[in-house]
Amino acid sequence: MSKKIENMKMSQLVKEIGTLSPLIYNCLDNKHHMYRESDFNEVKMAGKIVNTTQALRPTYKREANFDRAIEFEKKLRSLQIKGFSDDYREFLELMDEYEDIFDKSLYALYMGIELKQDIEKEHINNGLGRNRVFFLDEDPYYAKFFSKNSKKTISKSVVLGKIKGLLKFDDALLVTVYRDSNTKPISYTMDCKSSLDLIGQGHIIEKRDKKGKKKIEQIEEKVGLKKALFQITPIDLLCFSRYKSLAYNLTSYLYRYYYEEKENNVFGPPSYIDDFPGISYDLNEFAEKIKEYVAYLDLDKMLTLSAYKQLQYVENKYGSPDYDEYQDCKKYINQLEGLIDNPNTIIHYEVDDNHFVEVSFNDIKEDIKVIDQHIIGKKFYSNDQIDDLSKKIISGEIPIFLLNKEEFQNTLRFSEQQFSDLVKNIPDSLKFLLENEWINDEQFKKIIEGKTDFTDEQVLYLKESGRLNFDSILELYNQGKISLKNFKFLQSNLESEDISTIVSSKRLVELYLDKSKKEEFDKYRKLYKMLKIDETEEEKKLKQQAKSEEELKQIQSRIIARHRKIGNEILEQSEDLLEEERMFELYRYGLLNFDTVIDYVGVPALNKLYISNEIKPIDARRLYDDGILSQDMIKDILTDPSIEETKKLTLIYSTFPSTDLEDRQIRDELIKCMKNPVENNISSSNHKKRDKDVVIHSTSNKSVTDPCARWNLISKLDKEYIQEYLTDGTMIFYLPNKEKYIIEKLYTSKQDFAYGAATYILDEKLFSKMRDKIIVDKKVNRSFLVQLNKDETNNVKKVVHTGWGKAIGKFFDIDNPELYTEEEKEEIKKLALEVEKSKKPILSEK
Amino acid sequence: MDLETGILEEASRYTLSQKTLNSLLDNLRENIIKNSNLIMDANKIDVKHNKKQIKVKELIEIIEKYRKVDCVLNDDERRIVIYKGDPYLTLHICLQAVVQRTKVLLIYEDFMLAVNEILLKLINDILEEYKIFNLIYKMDNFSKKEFNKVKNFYDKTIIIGDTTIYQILSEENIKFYPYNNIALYCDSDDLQKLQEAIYIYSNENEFEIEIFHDETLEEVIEIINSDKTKDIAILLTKDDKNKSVFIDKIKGKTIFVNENPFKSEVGKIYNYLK
Repeated sequence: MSKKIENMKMSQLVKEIGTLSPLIYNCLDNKHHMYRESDFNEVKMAGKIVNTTQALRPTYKREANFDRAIEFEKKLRSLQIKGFSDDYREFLELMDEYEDIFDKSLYALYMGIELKQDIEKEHINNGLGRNRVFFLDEDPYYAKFFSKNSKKTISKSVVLGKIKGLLKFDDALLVTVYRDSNTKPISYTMDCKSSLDLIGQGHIIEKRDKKGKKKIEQIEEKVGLKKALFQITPIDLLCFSRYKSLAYNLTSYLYRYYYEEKENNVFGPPSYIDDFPGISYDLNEFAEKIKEYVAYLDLDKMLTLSAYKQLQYVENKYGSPDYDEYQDCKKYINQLEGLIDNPNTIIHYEVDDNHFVEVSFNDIKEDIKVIDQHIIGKKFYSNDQIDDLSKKIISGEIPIFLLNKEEFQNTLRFSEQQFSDLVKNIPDSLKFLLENEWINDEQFKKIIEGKTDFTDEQVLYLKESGRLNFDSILELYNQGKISLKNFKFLQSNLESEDISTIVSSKRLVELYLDKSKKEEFDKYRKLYKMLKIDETEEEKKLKQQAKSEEELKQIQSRIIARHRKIGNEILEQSEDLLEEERMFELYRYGLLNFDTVIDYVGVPALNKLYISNEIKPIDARRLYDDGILSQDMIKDILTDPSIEETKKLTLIYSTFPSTDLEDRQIRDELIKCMKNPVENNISSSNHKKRDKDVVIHSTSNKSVTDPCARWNLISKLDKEYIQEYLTDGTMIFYLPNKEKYIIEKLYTSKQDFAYGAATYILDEKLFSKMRDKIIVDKKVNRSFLVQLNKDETNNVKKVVHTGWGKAIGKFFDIDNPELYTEEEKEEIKKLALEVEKSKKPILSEK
Repeated sequence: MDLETGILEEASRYTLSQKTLNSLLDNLRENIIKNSNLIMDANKIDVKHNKKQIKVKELIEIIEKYRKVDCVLNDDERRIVIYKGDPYLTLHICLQAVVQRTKVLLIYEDFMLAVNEILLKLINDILEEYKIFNLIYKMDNFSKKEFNKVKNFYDKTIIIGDTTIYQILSEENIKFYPYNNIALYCDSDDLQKLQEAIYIYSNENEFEIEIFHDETLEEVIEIINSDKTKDIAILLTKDDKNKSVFIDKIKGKTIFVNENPFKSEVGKIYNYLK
């Protein structure tokens, strides 16, 4: 608006003076060398010969005080009418007084041009090129400008020389616009005079003109000059004109219709309406003037401004840019790229009053990159909207495939954490990202590093696609990121390779013997057991399909033989393993089967193992069934007074856990033997009829739950369970295939059956880590278990006896067909009911 | 499991003045009394599996408690309520749902199935008369898979008394309330019978009970105080000093010493749906 006001002031000036008068715009040139005062004084002196107000106007400063300019001109006019004195002192004094309204460069240029013309005329007239010489007298007025030693005369050519010297450093362009109101319609002309011409460097202008015209041709060819000027207005010339005097004057020239209209001298509507309300100019004319004055313009800046304003227009339109308009704008800007010589050229553009932006073409290109990062589909998204969209994709609320690759990569630009969250929440997304190459190797690596676990399908896919090999899978397993469950899935679904080759007996034994690698060994042995030792799917199928006991036994024998072979392979790795303790340990780990142990340690060691509960119940039963462990042997143990009664009971129930009649009868007989060792005859019959159901109890009337009902149920959760008995009547059950420990109070310290005490279920890792705090002096520290249970991160479960069987079933997820077969599930449920039934009053046996 | 449509839909936006509430309660009361034989027959079926005996009188007393309650009607609030299936609790939760206009999805397993079914039918019949629809639903059995299907349609999950499910669900938006969750310590052989009786009764009524056998009194007090899932602490003792220590040091639980904690049929009730 300030420009508009300035324009109006100048038009007022035009009206005031009246006659053939140019519109005047002066400028404050940035490269403003301060002249030596004496230099400018000599230039001022030259002004004596130029004595029309009109002529001086082009040399006014742009921001000159309007009233002072009017005042100066009035005074000058009076002087002209009155007549100057010979030494033009009045003129010089007037110039001194109003020096502030003049632009010194333009004044110097103007004077230089006049002087040159003058000298040329005199040369023609005088022939010899002699200058007129000024004589200066002792007048104190002149003395103040000149030192005592300086010349008292001064010639025009000397002054001209000085001016040329000044203008070498101060490139200026004197622009005058003439309005002739005597013509119809009123006509305007523009005249430009360059300081470069004056100082003999006019070739620079010619060169610029030539280069500029060539560039204009390229612009016309590629985008069209009028398109480039589409968002640019004449006032914007200030931004890309080399000379502000040209910018202002040309603007005024182009807006002349506006002024005439205001003065009611309307002579036709313009052909183009710009964005200033009421102000109009002709775009065609604007384009023509650009071509005409191209030598004085910076086209790089013009094109940069064009790009900037086009982009601003699209961005700011109606608050939300139109996608197609933006794409057109982007295309246009890309076209400009080849036309701009220096894309780092900065424009200094006034957005509004005293608010400037500085921007280069490269900055604009960066802006476009940023805008492109906010586009999805044909819609622009703010940063908040992009965050929101990212969250929805990560949560699965919006499917990822609704985007395309570019949008995902350029707009969403997930961080490492976001990738991790996405892959965690939507496991299939990892495959999608990899197959469609939406992530690179580096990103994939970071995702793997950031993951804490994998789904079965993810591991299978990564292996089959070759992104993970066995070594890397093993590494991830050691890091705890891949689980045994994943391996199980691989084992069933990986067709091309035998996954059991991932482990070896050699490595197993190396880790076992190296005590510093206990943790790694624990993980390795479980994997080894699962892949090499556990019943294969084929073996399970054969057993299920067995048509007779005989066939089942044959299958079982083959399995045992296979286990034996593996056991021998392990033991062959090192002689150190042949120590009894080591073998028992490997047996407890499930790496050696019992048969292999017997092969090496012999049957007599059995007793020791059996009494100390080292033999797993499943093996104890097999020993009994195979006749290696007889009832008489068991009775010998039961009648040994040095062994605790509860331990004896543990032996009985672990060997004969079933609720089948046969097991119950044997149990009853053994318990009787235990209670009355003298009276009971030793019998190896397994089919003795029982008179009634009897269970162990103490002497007082009690209603109890049969702890063995609970024991039975626990034994079905993992048939390879191992138990450890503590002196406070607590049994620690280790379920190796579930990687869990169950802490169950079966008896009180007074050796009564315990009921109502909470059961605790812990992860194997936690129990191993906290064992010394959980079991103190061979007793369970229940307070500590309560603390562990309180912290959810420990994953310690507490089960009260109300609905105990069902609760255990829930915690072990017995309904999950991946974990338990239908038969196993039904058996566990049946035993859960048994537990409930066992909560009844029972009379003591007399 | 196919979900009933109503489980996911908003409940009808009814208004409920004090007068209307009283009228509704009157009708519900009449309906229960009229069908008390049905309820008793259902109880007989349930007793084959669970020993709990339902008293119609107790049901009526519960209804009466809601006469003076202020109706603060919510806008489309929804709760999943998981509990053992105590019919008295069922009635409480349903009435709280009515006076708060909060949709409830009840989940319990196989405790008192017949009585609960009758009760829910009687309640929903009355609600329908008052143009209150889709307010109370039941889902058969708890499974994590089915729970995950419905949980996003409900604002919050409330678990009453069932610590197993509370430990299985590691969700953020879950509140647990104890309901006759008992800790019991007996230090006297002479009181063992009483301990057994409390234990048996608790099991028959699906009240979770934990009994401490070999811990010291101090250990038991520490354990009970740190266990937020318990609301009742029982001490059976003949030692007056132990009695004083127990009463003095147990915090935030209802304490019973040498007495039957089940004189009242119904345990402590909270505003479960707020």
